[in-house]
Amino acid sequence: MTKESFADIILKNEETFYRVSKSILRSDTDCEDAIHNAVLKAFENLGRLKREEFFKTWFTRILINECLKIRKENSRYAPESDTLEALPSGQDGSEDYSELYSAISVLPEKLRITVVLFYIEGFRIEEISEILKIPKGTVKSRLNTGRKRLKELLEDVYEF
Amino acid sequence: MNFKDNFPIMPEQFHNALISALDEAESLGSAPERRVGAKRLAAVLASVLVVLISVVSLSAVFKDGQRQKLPVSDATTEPVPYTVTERETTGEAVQTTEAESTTQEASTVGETHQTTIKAPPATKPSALPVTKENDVTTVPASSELTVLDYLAGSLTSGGSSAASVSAGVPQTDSTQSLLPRLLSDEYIAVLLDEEHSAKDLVHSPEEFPGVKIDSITNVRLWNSRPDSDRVQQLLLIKLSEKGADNVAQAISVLNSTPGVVLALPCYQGVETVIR
Repeated sequence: MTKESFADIILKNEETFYRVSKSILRSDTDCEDAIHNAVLKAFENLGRLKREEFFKTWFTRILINECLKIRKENSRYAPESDTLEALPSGQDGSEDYSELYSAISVLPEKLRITVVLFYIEGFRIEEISEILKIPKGTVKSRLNTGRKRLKELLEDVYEF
Repeated sequence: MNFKDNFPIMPEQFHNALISALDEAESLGSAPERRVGAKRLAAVLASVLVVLISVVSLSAVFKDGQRQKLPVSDATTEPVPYTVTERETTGEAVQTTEAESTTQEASTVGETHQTTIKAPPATKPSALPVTKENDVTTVPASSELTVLDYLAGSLTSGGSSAASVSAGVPQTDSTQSLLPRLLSDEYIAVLLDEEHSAKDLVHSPEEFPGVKIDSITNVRLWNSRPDSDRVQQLLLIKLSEKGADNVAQAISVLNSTPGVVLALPCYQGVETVIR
């Protein structure tokens, strides 16, 4: 893979990468750090990528790892809960988060990442299994649990 | 409904961070090539190493195209009951003297002393410290491995009773079908009484009709009485001619010989141990 194609694929999927990092990290600044570190790490380890068509999956995994690393460092100073529930509408006064995003943010991290990858970003179950390094059955059960939780959280808002 | 619309819009700063990272990556040089060669080389080296280890291990077991005879260790894993003498041994090594080696008519052949004694503690087959004295070899009683262990093992594994031993050939039952393969076809362990020594046997080969003895090795001095300085000798006899029939014949003769308390075939591998 050339530098040009490397940059092209990343720029083409930058919104996906933002949403993935945003599903783990609360702060946009942390998301920027995560994507920065992930790009450098991916470039350094590009030789390990077996096939170019797996790049998006491979890079997403690197990005998630970087996000988790940053979150772990942050938790040293300010213990962080498993959820992103401190994201009420208009958190910083400038933007409103949708009900769906707020509900997703309340999910436990494992469920949240799985739900975002599947329902928001459209990854297949096999790809999520590869990204999170968990069995496909676990992906399915997490999706199932995530759906149930979201339904409970959103039934006041929407009629199911 | 597009779920993506429910997520926050990507801020410009995120895009800038991405561009910045790409620029930084570009400054590092060209994208590294896939490191297939190193990985394959490592896999091949690992395979070669495994093969080498296997070959070395096998060559240690097989020598000159034959599997090395390994000492049988199961006979010494726990105290083994056997009928040899009335008292428990001390294991102290006492050098015999000529006075103690005088030949007497006293024969203990056929006497079955039913007192059960403990076999020497569990041992591991290892090289024995051997001191040669003329034709007789003496092994310190503190040696870890004794032929008595094999003797005891022969008794229990063979399922033979003292009565059957005294009759000459150890009896085997149907449950001990492996025994013929375990027993050596040229070595016999012999326990003498207190009145006889190896020299008595060496000096009177004519007492063994039909038995051709290659060598007699005194592997242990066996002090059966703590309050006495008299000892019994445990011998290892090597026959000149191999064969189960020769061993059976020799045992029969030896068990009828004055001074011999017990004669039994040894396990295979005993010759490796005493060398």
